Amino acid sequence: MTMKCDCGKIGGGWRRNAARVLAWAMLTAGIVFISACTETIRGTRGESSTLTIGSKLQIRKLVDRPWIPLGSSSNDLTPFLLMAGLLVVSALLMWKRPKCQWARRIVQTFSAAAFIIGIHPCGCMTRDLVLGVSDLGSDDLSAFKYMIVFATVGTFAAVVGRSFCGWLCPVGYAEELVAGASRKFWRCIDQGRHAAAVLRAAAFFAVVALLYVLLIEGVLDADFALVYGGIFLAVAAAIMLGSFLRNQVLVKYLFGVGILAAILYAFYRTKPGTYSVVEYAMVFFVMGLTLIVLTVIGDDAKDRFFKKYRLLLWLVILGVYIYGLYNVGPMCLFFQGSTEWPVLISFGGVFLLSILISMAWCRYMCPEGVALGLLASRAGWQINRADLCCAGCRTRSKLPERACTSCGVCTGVCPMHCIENGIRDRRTCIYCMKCVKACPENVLVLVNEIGGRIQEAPYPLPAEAANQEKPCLPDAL
Amino acid sequence: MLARCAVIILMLSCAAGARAERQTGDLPWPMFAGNPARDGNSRVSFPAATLGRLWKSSAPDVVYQYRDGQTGSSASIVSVAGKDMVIAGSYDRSVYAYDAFTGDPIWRFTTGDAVTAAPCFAVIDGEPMLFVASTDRTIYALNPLTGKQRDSKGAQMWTHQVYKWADTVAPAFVGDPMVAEVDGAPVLFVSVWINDKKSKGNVQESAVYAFEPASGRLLWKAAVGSGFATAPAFGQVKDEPAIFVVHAAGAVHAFSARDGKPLWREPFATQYEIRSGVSFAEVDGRRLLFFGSRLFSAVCIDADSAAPVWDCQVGTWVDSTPAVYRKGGRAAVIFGDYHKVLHSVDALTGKRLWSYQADGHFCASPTIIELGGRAAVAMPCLDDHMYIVDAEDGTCLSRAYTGGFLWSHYQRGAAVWSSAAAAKLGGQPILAVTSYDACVYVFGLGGRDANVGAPSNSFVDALGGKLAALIFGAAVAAVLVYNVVRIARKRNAGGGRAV
Repeated sequence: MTMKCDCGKIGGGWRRNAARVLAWAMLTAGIVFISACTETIRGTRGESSTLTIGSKLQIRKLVDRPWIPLGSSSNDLTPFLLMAGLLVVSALLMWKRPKCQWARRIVQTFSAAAFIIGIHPCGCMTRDLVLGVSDLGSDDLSAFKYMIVFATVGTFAAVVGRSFCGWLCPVGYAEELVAGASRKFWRCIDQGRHAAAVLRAAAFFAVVALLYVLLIEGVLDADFALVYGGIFLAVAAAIMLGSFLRNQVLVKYLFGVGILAAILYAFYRTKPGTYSVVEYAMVFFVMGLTLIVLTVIGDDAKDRFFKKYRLLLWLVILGVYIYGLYNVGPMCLFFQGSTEWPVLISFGGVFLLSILISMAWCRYMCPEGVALGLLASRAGWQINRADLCCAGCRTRSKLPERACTSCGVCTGVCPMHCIENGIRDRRTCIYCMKCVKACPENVLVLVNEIGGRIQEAPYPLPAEAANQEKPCLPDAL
Repeated sequence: MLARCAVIILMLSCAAGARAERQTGDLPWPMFAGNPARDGNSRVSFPAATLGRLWKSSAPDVVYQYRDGQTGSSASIVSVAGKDMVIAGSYDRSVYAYDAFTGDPIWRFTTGDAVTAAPCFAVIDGEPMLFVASTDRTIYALNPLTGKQRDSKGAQMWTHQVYKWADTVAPAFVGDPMVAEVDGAPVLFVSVWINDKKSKGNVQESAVYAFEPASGRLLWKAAVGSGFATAPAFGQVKDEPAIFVVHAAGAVHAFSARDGKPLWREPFATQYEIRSGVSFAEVDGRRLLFFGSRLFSAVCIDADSAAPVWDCQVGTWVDSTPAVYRKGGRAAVIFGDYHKVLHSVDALTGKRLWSYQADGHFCASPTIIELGGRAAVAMPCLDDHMYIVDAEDGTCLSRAYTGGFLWSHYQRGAAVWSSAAAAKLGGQPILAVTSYDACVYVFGLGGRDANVGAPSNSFVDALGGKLAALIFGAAVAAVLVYNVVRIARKRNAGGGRAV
């Protein structure tokens, strides 16, 4: 018996189902394994109503002593060299193999593994910049430690754009994976397959609950179960309604309201901001991000609006750091291995919001992304349309025989929603190269605007490819 | 050999207060963490199950002064010539001495800048002396009876300026001074970090200084690094008396207490910052060092070899200098963290024994006492209370209000606040806490009930939490209504475009 799968391909039903069961079993076993590897002692409840924090989830780093220390200190060059090395590799792959998404996946996976369980860099470059500047003159070694990562990543951003975001950042990688995994769910809504949609949502909620039990609390307490179950029932009802109406927007909207409720509830329950309401600003930022996502869901045009004004948000977070308030955010879970509640709550929000809008955090909120975007707007390497003369291009790198047909494919595949008809928002693009790969006319090419060089192997036009002709560069190049 | 070690350890643990104890049976608290090993043991027993507040000092002249990186001065409790005193530094550039049981001010000594290190008391050649390290980069020797720099014979006592004053030089960060006996002679140890922001002649150095306490003569100086150095602890590396000090850049150093030469081939370096002090203890024949790390763990290393023994992951920074609680042949290490949790772990294995969660961060050093016949830990918390927790099982025995926060905010981890001091003077046990409100709170038997604490004076309260919630809730509701209206207008069966 065969069945038609979601993507339209015909495949063996039993194989597909067996693969799913196997995937779920492996996922569950992986979670149990991670849980078994972490500490199992739970803290004693005190008089406080707050939770015993991070009692089980602890990310251990393999490297706990510096490999290349500076001045007999913790100031380790290893994270800096790793970042620099991975950025060089990503740049080479980008130039030589612009259509190889699997190469990007390998770099992303290696980078995520290295930063999550390997070494301990502080990835919050905005905070580190402020700390580094304030330490200059009083403790230069400390200042160097704080500023070296920003200096490295910023330098690369000035040359090859936000490749850190698209190739190295584990938060962006996690968001991409979530967005990719939830694509089929939204297709179920559009196709009116409400039972399948609810089942997928139930499976997702079950995994989140399992993670909560195994990694954080140790037990499924009644309070959590009540609120969590309530949110799921509301979401399930929304999915049923939305799939009957075949209205993705309605489901997304109600899902978003559920996420906001969950963040508010978690914040109320854990009360992380003990000494100052601004102390853990990132949680409030993620609450704000939820509102932004809800607004964009309701009105696509607001996407551009929020991207335009995210610099203001960056200035706010910069002000928080300059004012001297402690702050942790979603990136701290991966880079630092911090399992404090503000980190878990803000990362949970970022993770869930990726289901609704792909890479919502990276698009509208990430302070590091905004800072790098400022540098990337004038970066040397740009993805340009070959049929247009790009601004600043000294060699007029036109490929007039290639023309954009405004098919919209690039817009559809862009996870940052930052390209339309081959024209990119340079501050938002993360150089994932999906548009280059997807362009049916091969009109998108990587151009070195500083050196005046174009990618050595612009892929052939469809017609040329059909004629088995080798790609050729115009004489002007 | 063992007997020799035992004698040395006994000398270390009793150190400066030993002579007073032999004469009067008192158990003073002469320095930060109680003794040169910094293990927080007081051996003070409170017969009652709960404590009451005996007195609270009035606020000094200037208290609203906060700067990142400062430490709160812990108190020292001593008895000199029949006078029982609680002595503590303050942000208002002064050191205060109060009567230990009534709180009456006895004297005040003013320095050039805030006094954030705990004063250290010792009897040197029969002369009681108090050593004060001020952030004005100067170390003062005082007469603890009068608070003046004149000893009992009227002779001028010494002052040592670690670094010459200049307008552009930032205040020094000083570690709590400590007196320990090295080869039978007392030596004063203090760590100092001096830095400035001058473009020319820039100074960035931290070092441990050893002085002859009677004369103030500099015996040796050992460079630690370019950043903050925590309070030195005294212990042993093999048979050599040693000084251990932590450099904030993530390294633990061991120097010979005799001449300041490094005792390890290279310092023990961790992957991230350390802001906790280090404590030394000999457990089961092994000489161990304990300290907290900002790599989310408490760490134990072997003092002889600098090899790591264990690290206990807690998921957040540990800035609290660990205390060592002993019972029978076993020992537990107790420390607090920024998850608001107080932990007890086995000293040899690092295995968690219990944990207790409060409402605020723990970044001070715990003090081991006995309350109502139960071994207990006294630990100030940044929720404006001092907690007394059973050292065996982590049950909260008592909680006392210790003053509210004076600042609208503080940068987490930028300051390490005061620890509790416990002493028994004239047969009466007392517990003193210098709070961040610059007042000294002293608890003992027969005072007012201190179990009911006042609410936290947080910024949220100051703003009006309900008003903030109302404004935020209104904003959320407005956005939701706005979007619902828009969706209703744009509603179509196919749903929105994928963004």
